[in-house]
Amino acid sequence: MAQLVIKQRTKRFSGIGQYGTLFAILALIAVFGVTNDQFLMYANFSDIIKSVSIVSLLALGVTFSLIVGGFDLSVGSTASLATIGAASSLVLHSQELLVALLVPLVLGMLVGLLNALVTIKFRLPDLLATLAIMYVINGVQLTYTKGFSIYDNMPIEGGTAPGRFIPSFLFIGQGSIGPIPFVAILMILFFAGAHLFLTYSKTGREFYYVGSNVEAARRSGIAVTRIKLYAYVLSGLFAAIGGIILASRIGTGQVSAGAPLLMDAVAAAYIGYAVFGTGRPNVVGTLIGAILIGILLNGLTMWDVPYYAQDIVKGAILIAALGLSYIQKKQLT
Amino acid sequence: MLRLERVTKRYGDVTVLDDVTFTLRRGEVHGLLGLNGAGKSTLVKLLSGAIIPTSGTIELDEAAITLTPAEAIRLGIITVSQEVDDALYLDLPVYENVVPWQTIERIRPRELKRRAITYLERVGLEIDVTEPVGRFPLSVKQRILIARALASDATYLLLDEPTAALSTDDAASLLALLQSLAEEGVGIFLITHRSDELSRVTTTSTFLRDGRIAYEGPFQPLSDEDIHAYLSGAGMTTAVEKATPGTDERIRAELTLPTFGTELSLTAYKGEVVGIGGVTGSGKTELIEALFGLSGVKQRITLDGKPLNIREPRQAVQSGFALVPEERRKQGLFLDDSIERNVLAIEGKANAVTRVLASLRVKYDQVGQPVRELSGGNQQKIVLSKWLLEDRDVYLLDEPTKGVDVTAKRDIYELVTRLAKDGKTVIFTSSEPNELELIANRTLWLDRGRWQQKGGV
Repeated sequence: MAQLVIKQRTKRFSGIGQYGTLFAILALIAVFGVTNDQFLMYANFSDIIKSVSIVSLLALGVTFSLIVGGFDLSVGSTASLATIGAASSLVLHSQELLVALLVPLVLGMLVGLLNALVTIKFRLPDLLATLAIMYVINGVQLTYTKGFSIYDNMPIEGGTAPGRFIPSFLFIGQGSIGPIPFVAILMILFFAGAHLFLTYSKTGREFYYVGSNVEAARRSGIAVTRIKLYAYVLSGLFAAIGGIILASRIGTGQVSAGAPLLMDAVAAAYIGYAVFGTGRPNVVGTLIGAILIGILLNGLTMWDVPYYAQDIVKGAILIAALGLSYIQKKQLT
Repeated sequence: MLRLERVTKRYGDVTVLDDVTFTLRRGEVHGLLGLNGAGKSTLVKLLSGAIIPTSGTIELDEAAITLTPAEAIRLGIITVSQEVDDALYLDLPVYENVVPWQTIERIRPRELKRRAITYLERVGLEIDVTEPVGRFPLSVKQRILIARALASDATYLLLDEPTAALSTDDAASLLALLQSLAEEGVGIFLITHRSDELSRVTTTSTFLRDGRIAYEGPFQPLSDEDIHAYLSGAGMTTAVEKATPGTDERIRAELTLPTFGTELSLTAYKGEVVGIGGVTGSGKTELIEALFGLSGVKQRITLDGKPLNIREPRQAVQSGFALVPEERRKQGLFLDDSIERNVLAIEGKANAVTRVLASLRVKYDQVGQPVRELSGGNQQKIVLSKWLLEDRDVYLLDEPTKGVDVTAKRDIYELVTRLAKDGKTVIFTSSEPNELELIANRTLWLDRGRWQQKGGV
């Protein structure tokens, strides 16, 4: 008679995936700290956190799209659009804080709906469809501004712009509560919220089911289409929040300001795959990935590595992160 | 009691189930037997709500029901398909795969893990529930699915060839588990090709033939002749006239079988039809693929006495081999391309296409029609056609009659005999002993990568 009970032990992922990212962060801090005395200063860390907060929110958006098995490449231009939306409300239309927040948020969600439309309804491949939307949205914000940035006292027809970046708006990106930058608090809140939602709510778990096996999810009665729609709308929403912080931080509505953030965000999300050795996109991993990239770029800047050469490093990081996530995926099948 | 009452299922003008009445009772292990294309998978699909009957009713405890996949699960009718991976979330931890999503009210990981462990205990699994499912072997994955079924209060469990790819020990312990579930009152519906399993665990068995029920009753008293007669009917056995094989050796192969790592040798003569028998997972496909240079394994092949070095399919084709792969839609056809382009995919002249199609009795409107529109049997004939325009020496046919209706099957048998009579060598794999008996001059049986004495049903 064959044995009835199967006892099975599996080996954990190798250490490289498990704590590698955390070690990498510590190693980077050590290297940059030793080679540059400015690096470990409070002002520099505050700088890092401010730039990380923007990238991390875009990366959070990407993470939501990745969790459901999609891919949102439009987060960069969505952030640009949000920046312009906020700046326009404030400077060109003299609106108050609430409007300056609502306009970009609604724009972000609309982009998310558009992404959902092309990927779910028209069934276009996520990567290419959102790439196309990225171009469309970038074109929209360029067309609206005719290619010019929006700033306080900018010349317009018949004088100068009526409104300005109001202090309450600027506080979001520049203010701090005690020694802690306000953006750090915002970032932690959003990430904690997203993490709790994805881990402990029923709808949140459905995101993972859909991304893991669409057919199995459909057959267990999950509204697959709706979950994907949510994911893209959330992605657009978080990209827009990133755009708001960006506008507030630089105090102008710069055109295409979000475009260079896309690569950082994608890389952060993919590094996140590896952080806990789970081999799937996760919010906490993404945050750690964004911090890693933020520290790296900051340190490279302090080493006087020119911004154009930094792209080489970013690309290399993305390849490494993709490679790592691919290895982990392979162990699962 | 789960019951099909006079159910008929048609696709277009092809009838796959014809006026079938069938009952599955709680507490029984009910076996289902039938050749390829007899309607087994259609029957399972009807019961799992994947398709709806053309006519007739499905009843649960005497009340007519309309099944959808979700409704079937709600009523406790759970299917464990052969493609276990399709039903699992491979990268998610075990406990999230076991506890059915519908029954979760609040997500408390500790509570979910505890529930998962109780269900896993019932199916005899002691594993780390936080590990992703993808890291476990098939035998464990199957039990995880059964545990999930129990967690959704399964009253009927439908299993499609669950032991096909398992080792003897794993298969035996799975069957013991199914029996103990039946004793707890679950109705088990078991599709299998293995007669030893049927005689050991089933209380009742149903035989399907050409979409009709050929036999219903206990399996144990049946003799091999009875089984043969019920499965293939009397008419089929006399239909094909075998060719006489020549005495010249055509092919001699020695190779290491991928996946299994076993050493196999095979010899075949001119004009011979060699049957390779075995259940799913016995190594048939691996053997065919190795011969055709698809798996990059070490192999020594001589063709008509000449040594060959086949490392990739292109070389196999150049040496005179033809392959009809097991999964024709995925591996054998350019589905969106026209019939003509598919037939001409290897070589040949356009004016010969219609002649070849006619010789195989392919039913089509025009040669420009996409292959996707054809029925399974006609699609298979297209796969065959592309190798008929130019002369080949060795035809490797991997389960060529799988999912093919009875008439198309007969046409394929005729073609095989014709090829053999022309002096070609045909290597024909199948899981049906009757089919191999019908067309092969000699049949070799594979079991888990090794040659066997005759086994299976």
